[in-house]
Amino acid sequence: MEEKELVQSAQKEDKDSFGILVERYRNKMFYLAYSMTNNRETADDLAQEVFIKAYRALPRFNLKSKFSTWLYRIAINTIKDFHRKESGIEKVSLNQRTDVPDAKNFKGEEEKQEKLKLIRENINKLPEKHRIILTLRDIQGKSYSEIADILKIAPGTVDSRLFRARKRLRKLMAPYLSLFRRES
Amino acid sequence: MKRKKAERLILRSMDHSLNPDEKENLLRHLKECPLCRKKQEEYKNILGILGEQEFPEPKPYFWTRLKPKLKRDRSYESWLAWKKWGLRAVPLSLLILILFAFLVTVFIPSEQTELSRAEILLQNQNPFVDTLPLLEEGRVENENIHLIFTSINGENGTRRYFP
Repeated sequence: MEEKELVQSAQKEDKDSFGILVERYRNKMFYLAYSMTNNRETADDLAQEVFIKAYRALPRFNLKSKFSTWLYRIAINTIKDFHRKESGIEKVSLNQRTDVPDAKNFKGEEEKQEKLKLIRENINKLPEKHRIILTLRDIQGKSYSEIADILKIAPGTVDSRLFRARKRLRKLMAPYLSLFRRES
Repeated sequence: MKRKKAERLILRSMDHSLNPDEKENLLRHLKECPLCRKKQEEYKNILGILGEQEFPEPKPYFWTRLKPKLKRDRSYESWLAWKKWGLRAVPLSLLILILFAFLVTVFIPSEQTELSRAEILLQNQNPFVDTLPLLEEGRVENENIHLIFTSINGENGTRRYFP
């Protein structure tokens, strides 16, 4: 069944159609929330909240944009609201690492996970708008035009914001960059 | 090429292909600049790891847990819909009321209003239509009133009393 048809059925209170849409997008919404919160429980709750909001707002969705774009927009706003409420708690949990891990201690998958942890920690130190754009592009793999639609900004702004976000991330990771040069 | 420009092109090249000129300029610059080569390597590794990461699955029974919440919230949605349409019904009912009032005014004939004496004279009507039957009864007091009125118009009219 086409996505448009599923959406139209769901608009007419067909829960089974909405269920198919949930199955299609639950992982993406969960990944988005997880990469923005680094907490599985929170990400799960946020993903559920996204679908509840989407179901409520579905009768007002006019199908002018893609359903996924509309859903991502809801997700971004839900996550922003969450961060606004939890900003105090978040800051305490993020700035924990002060030491530079020794790359010699890690090998293979363990090394990769340690690097990933470092990157995530530093992404969470970025301003929210940079975190969002990095998540959408570099984790979710969204195209520039999709990001522009989701965030309601011009594609040129996507380009410049993404450039600044990546540059800032690299700057934050300056103490650990030697770890990332070893691989090539 | 400046390093800032080169950095921008390095990052763009990771998202989509550059135009031939930009590509050529960047490659030439990278051959000459070890600092930018180092940056390119770092960016590739950082963004590569970020893109390859595996996420955990959401908790099991996602839809089963979600479905009852949708049911509960659907009543809220219907209330919202009622609120939306209810708000629209207010101006609509006002409009209907005004239209009804207009139609009533136009199509139902109004009761005859009492005209002033000047208006009756202008319409060439007798202003004493209501008093004539009284005068015609022939009662004494009415005769007196009659005389009073006639004396007003007569040159030598005098008031006389007939007990």
